[in-house]
Amino acid sequence: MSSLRPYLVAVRSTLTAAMALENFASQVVERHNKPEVEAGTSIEALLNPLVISRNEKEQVLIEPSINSVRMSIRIKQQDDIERILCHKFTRFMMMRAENFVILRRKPVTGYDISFLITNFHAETMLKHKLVDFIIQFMEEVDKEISETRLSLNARARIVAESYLATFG
Amino acid sequence: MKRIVSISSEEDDSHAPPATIHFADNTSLTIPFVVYSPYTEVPEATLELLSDPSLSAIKESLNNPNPMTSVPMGEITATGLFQKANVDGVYACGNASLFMSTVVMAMNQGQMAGAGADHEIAIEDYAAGIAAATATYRLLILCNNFRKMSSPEAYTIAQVPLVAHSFSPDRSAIALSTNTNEAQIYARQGYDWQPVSTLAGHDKLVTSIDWAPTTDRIVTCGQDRNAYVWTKEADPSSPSQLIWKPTLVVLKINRAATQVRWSPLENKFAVASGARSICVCSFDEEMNWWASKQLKKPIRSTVLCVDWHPNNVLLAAGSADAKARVFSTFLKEVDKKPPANVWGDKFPWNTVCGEYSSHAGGWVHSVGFSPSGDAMAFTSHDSTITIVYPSGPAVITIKGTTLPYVTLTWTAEDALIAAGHDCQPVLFSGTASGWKAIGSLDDANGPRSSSLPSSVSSPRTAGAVGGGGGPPVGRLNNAAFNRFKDADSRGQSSIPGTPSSPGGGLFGGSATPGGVTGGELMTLHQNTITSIRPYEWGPNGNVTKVSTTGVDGKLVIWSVSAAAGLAPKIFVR
Amino acid sequence: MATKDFRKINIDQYDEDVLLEEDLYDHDPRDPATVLAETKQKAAAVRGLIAKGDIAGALSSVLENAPYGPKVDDAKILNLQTILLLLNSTKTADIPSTIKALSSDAQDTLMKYLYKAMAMPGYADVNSSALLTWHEKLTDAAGIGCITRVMTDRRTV
Repeated sequence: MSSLRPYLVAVRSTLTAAMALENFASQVVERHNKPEVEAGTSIEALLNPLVISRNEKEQVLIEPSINSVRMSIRIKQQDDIERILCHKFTRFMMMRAENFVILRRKPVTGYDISFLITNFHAETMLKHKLVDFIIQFMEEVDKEISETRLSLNARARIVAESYLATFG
Repeated sequence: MKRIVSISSEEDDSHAPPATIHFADNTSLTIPFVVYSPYTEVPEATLELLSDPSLSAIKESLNNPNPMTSVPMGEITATGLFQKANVDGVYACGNASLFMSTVVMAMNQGQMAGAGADHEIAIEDYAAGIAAATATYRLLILCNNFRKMSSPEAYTIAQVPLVAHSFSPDRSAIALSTNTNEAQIYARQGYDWQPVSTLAGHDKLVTSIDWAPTTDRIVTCGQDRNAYVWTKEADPSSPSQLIWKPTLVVLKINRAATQVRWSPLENKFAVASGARSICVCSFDEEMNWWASKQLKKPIRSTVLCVDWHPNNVLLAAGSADAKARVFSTFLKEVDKKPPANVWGDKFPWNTVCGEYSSHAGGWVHSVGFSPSGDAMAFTSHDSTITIVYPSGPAVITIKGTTLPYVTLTWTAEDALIAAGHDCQPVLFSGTASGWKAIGSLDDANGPRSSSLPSSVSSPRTAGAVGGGGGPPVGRLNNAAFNRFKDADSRGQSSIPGTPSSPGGGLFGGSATPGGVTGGELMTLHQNTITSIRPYEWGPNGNVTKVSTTGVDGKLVIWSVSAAAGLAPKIFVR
Repeated sequence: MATKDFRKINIDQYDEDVLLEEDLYDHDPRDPATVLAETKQKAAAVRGLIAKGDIAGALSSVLENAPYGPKVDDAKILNLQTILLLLNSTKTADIPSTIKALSSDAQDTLMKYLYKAMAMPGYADVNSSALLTWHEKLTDAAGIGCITRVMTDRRTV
């Protein structure tokens, strides 16, 4: 698709800029260390959220802060079938968010899936590889859903055929 | 033992020009070729051998210009000549029991030339040869390629982020915070750093460490709102040992401490904290404790960094409200009234001598006074470095094209080095009329041509765009898609250096797709650099080496001149 | 009665020392009416410049002193429309040279407008693929530092 490449390039550069994270103890609660983008209590620790959109249906929202970044993706869903598949797919992943580490259990309102990357993740994992992973994820989710839809349609056709064949 | 200060050599047409070694006692010695060694001490016996006139007839010519490696020097007991094909070489070795055997290592794709007593050469396999050689040999390796000399020394200390570091006054030990509640002290043993003691006392992450060079005390602070001052004392159980004994400092802050620094005279230290205040602590002789006083106004958010002015009274602080301020920390019990300077005339406690905003409102990650104190620089999260000259008055902003810098150190009155999320230290230079970036200290040791001024451009973007464009994305799709399909089965292979990976190196925008190979960045540090400190000073008082620690657990000592593109001076590392 | 709702009082609003959004940046010294008038003037001038083919000059003048802050919403929308007009009327091949002709501050402001426009994909003139092309070329020229500045700068356009 003509605008996929610039879209992913834009997301990559914005996400790289947003991943400049560092350890920041909470200013509000002593001896605590929370992701500021989730706590939202210190406005100076938050940065302007940015949106990168390919069209109305596909968007990425990046909300950076001093020790965490939250990235939400709105996945392309062209019809009902894709909507259902997308919902099931993202629900599958979000239920396993603990093992996924950087995934957020609930997507930000208005989006289909959200990631929360904190400075602790950036310490144990390489930042450029995290960005690579998320870009790859975005590409593959689209592919996965359209492939599943095709195989679903094919299967439905086969089932219908074999059923109706019994009636001659 | 004589201590080598520097080695200089005039280039001539041969590969091995004569060189002059300068010693610490101001004597010098001219030798027919250069000594390359990781150590700075030369045994006298070696010196005599080196100045042997018969050796001066030898000019080394290697058919491969790669530098040779070296191993620790020992006492030299034998030297000789060897000849192989079209290579002339010299060797020397020291070992009491194998007087006549000689081994010379040539980094010629790992081949080793071994010579018998009659100088015949046998090329042996490097590995086999070195196995035989290591146990008993100590070699002096002679090489003619000096450019590698000023290359950085990199040590991987740990697999965890190194949050803060501070060297001992003689640079033989380093105090580190390894992202835990304890600070560790590592000592240099051979070519490695080994942990020798642990400073345990904090309940939460140790965020900053500072080792006072004159009084030999360490101060640490952490996210548990405490600071400890550690002094070396005799261990009660074994009196000959010295252990570090902590003294708790009651800071009276109710949030985490972020950074701590000793003042130049080491009678005070300043702790920046998340309680929107800076604690200045001084030792109260009467009560025998460290008393702290807080600077509060007009700070509106967590103070991220502090730095002292040479007059022991002024303190620069940067905070998360995007401002860098200069405070006076005059304590009448400790300080004498400081003379008027560019920052003002009178300095009662908590005077704000200057308040500067960052250009586009980013958090101020690091501040520093110039060596004389007449200028102050700060880096902020909007990828800018701002230098303030209050005497001008001039405020110069350098807008970077790269990720933000989180730490800086001045090396001279007109130069500073900043490092941060870009994983490489960058040298900046200028005066009150203007500043610019000179180049990166990281020579991205890969087979690429270097052009320093352009090296400060954002490596990742260039790589990302250069690599992320066109066919690679399509290729990536299929490869990744297949991998995703195979993801059900175990034994998934890791992603090789994909073309669309962002370039971490300096020259990522070139034909080679990105600067990443196999997932590694081309810079020495693989992750953000957290702290940069001056390591060594030159004769004129300028910093010649700096040390950096990063989130990747590496400690690297850089030579400052590497970036300036000056004619490479030959150092003995 | 107040006793039932005391748990729901936002006590932070009574804290004098709390850091408010307005404190984080320097406000625009001009008053809203002036800003609006200036923006309208620039919009008119730009049409003339487009006819002459001087896109770079037009962009520079619009990006300079762009309205920001809470009270000048009309001026902001108007400026956005002008900029979108300019972006859409530039040929793809001319984009790099146009960007190079901008000052560094103007490039930062342009990046802010690109993100603002991308946040409104359904709006009148917004052509997402053109915006993405501009974004890519601008990142090439100004680097990731430009994007970081858009994130940190509270003077949102």
